[in-house]
Amino acid sequence: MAIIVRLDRVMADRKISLNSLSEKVGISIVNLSQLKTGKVKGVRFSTLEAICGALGCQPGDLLEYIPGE
Amino acid sequence: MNAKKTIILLKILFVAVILVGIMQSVFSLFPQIPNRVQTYLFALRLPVEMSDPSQLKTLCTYILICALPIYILILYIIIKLIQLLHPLSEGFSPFSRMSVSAVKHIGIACWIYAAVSTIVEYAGAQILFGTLQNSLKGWNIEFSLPVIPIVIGAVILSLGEVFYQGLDLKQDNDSIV
Repeated sequence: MAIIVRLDRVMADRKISLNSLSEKVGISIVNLSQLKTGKVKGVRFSTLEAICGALGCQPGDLLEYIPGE
Repeated sequence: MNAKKTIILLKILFVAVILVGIMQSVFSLFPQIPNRVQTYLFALRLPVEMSDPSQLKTLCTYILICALPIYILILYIIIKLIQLLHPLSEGFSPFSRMSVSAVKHIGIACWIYAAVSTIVEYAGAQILFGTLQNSLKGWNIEFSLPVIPIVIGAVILSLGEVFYQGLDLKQDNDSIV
């Protein structure tokens, strides 16, 4: 997949755990973990909005496009 | 009607079908009416007049043997329907691999029934009544391939395909967070 999820990087910068983020965002830990490891096929805008709000970042900080991946 | 109530009704129907089968078996073993027979096959009354009352038991046995495939089919369909509705009664989505295979099995069972019932009726008549020409006096046994179970099986298999597409869509949706 050419879209890489950098959620782990942003979480490490903000020093926030998966559990805390899950509680703030309202998404299950399983889904967040799958998102972090890039095992999902898509992300809803509502989810992206909640994560950006919780981490204080931009969508571009979370997603990176690498052609040819 | 919710899934739990439907499952309870299906279980009651399962027991009822078994009881009807037992009653029919008992009737076949101990036929009562010497001359004019009215036999029940799932509420279908078949009046038969015979000139030779000694063949009454043979006729009843033949009808029971012919009825066995449909009893087995109905019981199998009820079991598969309960399997299909069980996830729904627990609050889970019905679109699962088990549900899809249950629907497909019902469709295939209808086709197998069409083939088996024809073979059983023909073989049963041959065994119990000898050749077809020597069947009950004045009573002809006719055979035909049951078209309705074939059509119903095709419809159910098509629905199974739709179910399978639904499962694919659900899995796709589940992978979007």
